[in-house]
Amino acid sequence: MIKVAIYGKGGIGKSTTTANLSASLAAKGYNVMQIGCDPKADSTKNLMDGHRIPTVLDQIKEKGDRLKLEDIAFRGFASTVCVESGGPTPGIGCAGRGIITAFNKLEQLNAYEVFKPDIVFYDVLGDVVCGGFAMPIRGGYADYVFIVTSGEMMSLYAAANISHAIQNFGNRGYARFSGIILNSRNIDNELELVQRAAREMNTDIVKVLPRSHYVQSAENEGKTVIEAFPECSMAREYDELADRVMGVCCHV
Amino acid sequence: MNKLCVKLPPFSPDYSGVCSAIFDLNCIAVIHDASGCTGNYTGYDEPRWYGSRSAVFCSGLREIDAVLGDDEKLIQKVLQAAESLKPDFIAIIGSPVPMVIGADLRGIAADIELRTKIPCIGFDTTGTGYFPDGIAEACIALLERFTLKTDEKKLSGVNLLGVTPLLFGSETISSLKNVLLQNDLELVASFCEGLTMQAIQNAAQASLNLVVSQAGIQPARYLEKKFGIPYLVGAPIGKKAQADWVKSIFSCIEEQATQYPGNCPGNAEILILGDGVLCKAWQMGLQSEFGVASDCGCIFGAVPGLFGEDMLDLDSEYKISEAINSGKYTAVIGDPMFRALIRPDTELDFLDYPIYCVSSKMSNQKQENCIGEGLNSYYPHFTKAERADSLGKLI
Repeated sequence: MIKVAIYGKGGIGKSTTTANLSASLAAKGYNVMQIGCDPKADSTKNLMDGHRIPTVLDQIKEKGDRLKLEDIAFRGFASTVCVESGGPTPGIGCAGRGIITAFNKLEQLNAYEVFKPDIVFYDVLGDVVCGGFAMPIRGGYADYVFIVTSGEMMSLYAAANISHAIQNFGNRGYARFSGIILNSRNIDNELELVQRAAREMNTDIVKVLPRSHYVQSAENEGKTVIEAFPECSMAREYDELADRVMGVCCHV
Repeated sequence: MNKLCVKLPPFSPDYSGVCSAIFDLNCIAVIHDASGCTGNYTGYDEPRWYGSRSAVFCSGLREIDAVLGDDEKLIQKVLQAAESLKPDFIAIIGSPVPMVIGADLRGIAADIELRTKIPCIGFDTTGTGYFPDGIAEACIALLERFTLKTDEKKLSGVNLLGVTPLLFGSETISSLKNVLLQNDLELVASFCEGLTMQAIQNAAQASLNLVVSQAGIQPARYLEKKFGIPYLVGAPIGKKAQADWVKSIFSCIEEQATQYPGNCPGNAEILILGDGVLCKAWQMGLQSEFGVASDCGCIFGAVPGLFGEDMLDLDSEYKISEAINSGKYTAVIGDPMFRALIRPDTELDFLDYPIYCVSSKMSNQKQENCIGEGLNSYYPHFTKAERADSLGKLI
């Protein structure tokens, strides 16, 4: 089982990228699981035909000890297993702790043994602002971390913070920083800017995703590009990204 | 609100279970807390604390450390303690505050191990579970870390799993071990009373694991999966039960088969309150010695692998109280603290069987040894169950 965490600044396209990665690998025959780690709980929406699924935390609150795996894990496009950790109402509670609780529940219910995924994607909210948001990269969870960024300064700043957090915990057996996914915004010198940042972070750009109207069109249909426009050029870009991510993770 | 403890003290939590499990070993146990949890363990959850030597420390967690996640402060304290005490291993044990801030105790442990070169284990205990969870987690961690693979099996070698002073009095533990000795069985490792590092290393040499409380079930499952050692669930309470237990030990060794106790059908007159596996042992003892049917009130929650209408999940004071006062039972066996739950209009007999994880020092009563024939001499001593309105009445 390969476990991958996708981090990046809020709004940069992590969920879109992750869902398309999942869809591409699932369409190739892999057994894929995607776990959204954001209180907004919309990571898997485009794998579920535009529908939001109940979150782990909401279901724990509602069902307590009676909670079953089928209450929180749902099959989406090409049989991907979709889970949303969820979180508290904005302004109260603790979102970071929420991720830990959701992860513990998945383990308690033997989710990984039951679904036996070939690959698990953790789609994690923005910055690593506290212990809870570092949970997906802790020992026993993701082995590889990819950061989605554009050439915009705030996005690169967030990427640097995340890479710093990963490197900070080198002694703890955390996940390895495995590369940057450049989600292009078509700003001036974007590739050069991100290449320079990658060098500073001691990593490489795994794939440059071009800006494409297919992404928005697919989202309008509540689908991934892979599902909505499987023959389009952007679908090929995501396929190539999937191959490269698998290449890095399998050391091919 | 039905989870509230109004009349009962809170039962020993998971972090006390971890500390208790490693108490006999040459280790440093660091509870990551402000001091209350450490005080709770050393003051109320560890009968061996006074008169024994054990290195249990409090990390002295403060608000600013928690807010900033200042793990380095904890790490430096542990490094200093390790330098002077030279332990065989270090345990970093969680409590409610680390849980809330999401402290990565396993990661911290990995960091400490890298710096000290001393094995270090992090336990994600939260203070919200009961001690059997902590004992189970500690046993599995010790087995994973230190038990050696071996082809040398001791044919009459057994491990005890789930032996803990939080449930068993010292005489009871001695009797349990004597039963093994008298039947030419070799005790390879006793998890977790009288445990040594050597015994942990040799644990895979045993031919059978004896699970005597529910804390032992998960470790037994681990040992079965990892080393192929089967296990027997149950304890020898009552003369005939002891003979049956010994017989089962030899047949399980012979057949290399795992065995759980069966159901005890019948119209239950007695409610037994306590650890699920021990309640079951009491139930079988009462059935075989006195022909009395009883229900098991599992106060630490349902026991994996033990099912049936006679196994009641009574994991809150409310549920225990409802069961005691249901009118179904003529008698209750349990810790004297449960007397406080008897309503004035409930008529019952009560047999006190104090367990440290419930009443600690408050019951002021010694636990009677009910292993083997011990049950036969103690069982008739029921007393009229009067409601104890205050703790003072029990002390």
